[in-house]
Amino acid sequence: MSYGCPVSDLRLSWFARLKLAFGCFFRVFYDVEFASRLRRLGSGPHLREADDGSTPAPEKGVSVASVSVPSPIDSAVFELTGGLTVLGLLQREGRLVDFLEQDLTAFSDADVGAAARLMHEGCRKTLHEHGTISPIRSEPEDSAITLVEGYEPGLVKLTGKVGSKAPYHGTLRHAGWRISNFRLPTARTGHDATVLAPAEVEL
Amino acid sequence: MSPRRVAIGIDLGTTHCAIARIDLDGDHARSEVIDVEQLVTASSLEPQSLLPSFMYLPTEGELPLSLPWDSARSFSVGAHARSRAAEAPGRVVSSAKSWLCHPTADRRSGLLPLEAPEGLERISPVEASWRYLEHLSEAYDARFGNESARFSEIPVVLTVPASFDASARELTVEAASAAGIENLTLLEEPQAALYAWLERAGEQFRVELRPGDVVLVVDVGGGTSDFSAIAVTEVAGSLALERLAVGEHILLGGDNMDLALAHFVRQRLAVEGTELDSWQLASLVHGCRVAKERLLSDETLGAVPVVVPRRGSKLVGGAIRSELSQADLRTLLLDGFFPEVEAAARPIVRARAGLTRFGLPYASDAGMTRHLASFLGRQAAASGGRGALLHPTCVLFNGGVMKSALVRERLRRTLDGWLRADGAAPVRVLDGADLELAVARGAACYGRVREGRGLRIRGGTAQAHYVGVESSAPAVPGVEPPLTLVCVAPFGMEEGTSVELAAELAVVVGESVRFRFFGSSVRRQDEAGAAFERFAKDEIAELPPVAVVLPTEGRAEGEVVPVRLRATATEIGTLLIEALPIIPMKPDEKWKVELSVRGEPPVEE
Repeated sequence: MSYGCPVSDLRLSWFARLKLAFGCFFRVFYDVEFASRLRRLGSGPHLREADDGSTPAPEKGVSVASVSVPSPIDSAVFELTGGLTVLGLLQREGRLVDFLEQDLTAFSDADVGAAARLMHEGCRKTLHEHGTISPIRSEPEDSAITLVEGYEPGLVKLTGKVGSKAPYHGTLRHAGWRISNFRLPTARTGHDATVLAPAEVEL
Repeated sequence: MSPRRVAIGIDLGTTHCAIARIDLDGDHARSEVIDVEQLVTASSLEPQSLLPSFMYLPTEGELPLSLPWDSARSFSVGAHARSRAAEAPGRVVSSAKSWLCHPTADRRSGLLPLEAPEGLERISPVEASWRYLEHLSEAYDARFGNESARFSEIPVVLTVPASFDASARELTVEAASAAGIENLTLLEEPQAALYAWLERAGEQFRVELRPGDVVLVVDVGGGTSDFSAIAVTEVAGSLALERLAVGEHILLGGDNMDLALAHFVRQRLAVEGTELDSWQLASLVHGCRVAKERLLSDETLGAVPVVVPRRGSKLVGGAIRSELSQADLRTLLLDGFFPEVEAAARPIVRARAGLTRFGLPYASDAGMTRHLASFLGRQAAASGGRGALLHPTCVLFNGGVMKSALVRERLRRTLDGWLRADGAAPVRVLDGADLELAVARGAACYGRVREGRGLRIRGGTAQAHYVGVESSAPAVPGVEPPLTLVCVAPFGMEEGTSVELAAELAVVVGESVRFRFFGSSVRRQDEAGAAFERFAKDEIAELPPVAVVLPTEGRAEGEVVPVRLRATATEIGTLLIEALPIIPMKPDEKWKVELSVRGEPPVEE
């Protein structure tokens, strides 16, 4: 995120700034989107707005959505709103935020269970509609496994008496999860992703 | 390199649409379902394999409902529109397809949503269909515009229920043409399901289907059900397929089943003193659908809880709870919709009250098996057999409802019982179709079949059509003049063929002259020009009237001109009726007889 850097508390060296200036100079010519973002950045009063998770407001009537399917929105904005989008989806389909924000102290397990079932059904459906969840290790949990030299450390967390090198002989405690084919809905430009659920008024 | 040549198949369903495409070149092309980019909320887009057939008409404040290809859209179709149906029902158009074959409504006028609030401009059933097709076309171009031809130039096969009459087919073509589809062919849905099965079976189909087989296609969609019988024959040593018969239009489908379950639970809750509002009822229907799917997929489950959550931001506590058991499901779903009845059973026709509310003519009997028995009984003669009913040898199920093994098994067992009693062998079930997407896939496959690649189902037009001519008779007060029905288009006309009536009709120059119009899916013996006054009520149905307007040019206004009618089964799959003057004023003079003109004004409450 090179253009995301000129935020006041990041102290860049003179050479780094020179490099950035040249990078920006040329990119302004071939990247229209970048140019218009740069302009907003220069004229906007709140330079850190994007860090709050909200998307920069688009000029009225301009829609980036006219570019192409499947992902017409800006990748930087996309990263910032992606997590919020997931939260919004889980609230919409499974009422996750409603559940988490409620104080459960006074309720019986039956009440909590009924709500959990609703949330489970909705969140699970959402999860499965947006990706494929599968375990990382196919062995049954609590079975003995061996990790040989060259295993991917990013996929396995070692616990207990961890020696200094492979092979490792141990017991699989958690098979892990991984998501593939993950896809998010495309948000309309200018859409405020911090609104996880709009208020509802019945007429 | 020449551009990629493809054909598109569209299933324009009552509750969902789907789109598939297939390569026209190459020997091993397979149909592929195309995900449709659509709004899932007012501000987010997702590609999904089904486009719900709902259209939402927003308030000013909600505008625009932008799409990647249209930033100023003033309405939405698809998943977002469907979710609004429960929240703001007066602004959502649904079941437009069922309105397309409404016998009395003016289907080109603004009718929907029926419950529209004041100030909201209603749209016509034709426009709703047009908007769904337009969305499919634009979503396709947005995604594939670079790699294949534009949607408007691609051959498109659009499916309609086999039971759609001539005017409903014509209105479907009108909607497609408004959506910019230029290269169009209609295909009957049950045939599309069989084409999809043929694609899936590959060469194996020669093992599973043999000359003499009769395939019964049972297609139960979200809102409508459709039956067809297709015969396997042998012509000059090779297999041939011929559509023998189609059923009546039945407004009954999977959605009715979810509603039935929800009403059952609602009544039980009401007895316990809990009343539900419309939002809660919609949520209950959803809960019942989920419970139904779980119970049907796992027979060992005794009961599944159904919970209607509280509406506010507090989820826990105050939820309305009930449950559906395996026994409830069997009583309500299997015995309610698929009762084990005798072959002689017929749907119960409820006498309509004198004044009925203007709405859709829903089936008054929910017993799918009674509708099926009626179809097989009425079509007993179609396969040339001498039994009391048509004898299928194979059955092909289609539609989301048929995902349930319990439902399939109940239907098969009931069918086998009827066949045994009528001295015929039990049916074989043709397996392996993709129940929700088969129609779109099959339609795409038909695009290839039309290019001579693969087996084609023949059979011609599915109905015979008649005009009603009032006989001249001395007027008797209180007695309607006798009506003679003249067959203008016989059953089974092959596409591209025409018939001309010898009889002459008189029309008045400069006036719109109307004729009553009728259709029959059982009178296969009538030839063009056959005329009769007496017929059994259940073999002929009255359709919206047809009209012909003769321009005055060269003739005096009010002059009575004799004409002959000519009917053509068009390549598109519609019926064209023209009036040819006996004494033409110019070479090849003819006028189109308009089908589906405005019917009688609807009866309002």
